[in-house]
Amino acid sequence: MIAIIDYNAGNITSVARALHSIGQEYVITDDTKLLDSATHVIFPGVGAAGEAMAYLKQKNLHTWLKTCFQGGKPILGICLGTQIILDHSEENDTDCIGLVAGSTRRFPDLLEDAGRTLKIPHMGWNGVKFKRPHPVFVDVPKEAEFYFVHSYYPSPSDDAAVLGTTDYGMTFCSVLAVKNLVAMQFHPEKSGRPGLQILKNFCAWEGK
Amino acid sequence: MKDIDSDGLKKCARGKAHKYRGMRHTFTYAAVTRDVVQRSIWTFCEVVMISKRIIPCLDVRDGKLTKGIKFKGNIDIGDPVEVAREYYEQGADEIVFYDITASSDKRDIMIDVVRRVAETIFIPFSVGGGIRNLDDMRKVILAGAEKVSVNSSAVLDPKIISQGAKAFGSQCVVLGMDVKKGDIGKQTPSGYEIVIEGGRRFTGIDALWWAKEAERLGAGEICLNSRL
Repeated sequence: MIAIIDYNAGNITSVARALHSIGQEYVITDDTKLLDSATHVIFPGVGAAGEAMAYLKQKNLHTWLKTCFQGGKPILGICLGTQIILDHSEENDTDCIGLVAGSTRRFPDLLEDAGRTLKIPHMGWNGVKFKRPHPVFVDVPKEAEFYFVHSYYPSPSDDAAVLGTTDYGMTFCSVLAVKNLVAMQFHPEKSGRPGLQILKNFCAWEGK
Repeated sequence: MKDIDSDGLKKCARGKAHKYRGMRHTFTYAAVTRDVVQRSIWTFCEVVMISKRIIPCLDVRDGKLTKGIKFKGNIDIGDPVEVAREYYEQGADEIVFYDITASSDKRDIMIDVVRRVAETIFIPFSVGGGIRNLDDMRKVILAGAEKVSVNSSAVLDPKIISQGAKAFGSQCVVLGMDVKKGDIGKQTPSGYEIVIEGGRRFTGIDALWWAKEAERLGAGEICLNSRL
């Protein structure tokens, strides 16, 4: 059973619908007992870091996630769920969960490409350059593009945590992978077939 | 906006150009026309940094997909959910739905369509038509749409843009603009005028000014419909 962590984040239903479409059973919950019994954990999220962390702390889910990560259970972070697994986020100057060393940064205001100022948020389809193969990205075409909506990006301090990068006026880490954790800035649940493939792979992944 | 030349706009409006490359190849204007899409909608984006997007636009009346010619004589042509699925499977990047239901008591049918669409396709989609206030926006978002598009209501009361952006984020708020070409004048220096209520009512508002104003108010995207 896949558990989607319920912490008042925006895209939980979309993730659930995507899992349903690939025939995967799931439960949406903030109950740590139910989360304990899950084989895989999805940590989604749309919203602001400050509010999200406040809610997680209130439910003690931040410590649960740490224990879960140490226990080796496969964890998938999406968007905000990727940003707040680092130590700190510039959004609302928030101390975060700290599964991975590093911080979440805001895009600079004046990102440029070919003399044109780029819009923040970075919104739309964009590619990912992978640094190495990973079981969660098996059968995902190299040229596949994914749907991004964000103003902040994860910046892990250890380069080895970076699995994939994306260019938007600058190169940023769009996928990070450490042990049993894989986390992406884009939305697999809104990225069409390649996105569903990632979810399928994750559900079959043993975290190794 | 100022990079749009009238020739490109016309080509897109006629729906003949599937792709129109603008000045210095900075933008790609993608016009999408298909049998069931009576209106060509187009979008512009940076070729280099962000991929070109193909966004079919579907009109829904009383829960049925409908097609008209120049917005008149609409006939029902099927289930919007099935057609959305077809586009999704063909590789559309996003889908836009317009609810053109005339009577407000049938609006809830659209919410049901949105819910079914969200269960069927796994790409972003936006919903517009008859969105008058925050509550209308909330209903559409809760039913599963990523974005809400406002058009006439924003012209009549621009606050809906800023309120929507504050409540749901700019990425959620799309300004739909219906534009007619006119004379370049004092009131409309760009030569394009905003029309509302399905193109029936001229507003005297300059299209370029309105686009900038909407951006200032917090609109995250503009969906431009030519009423040439």
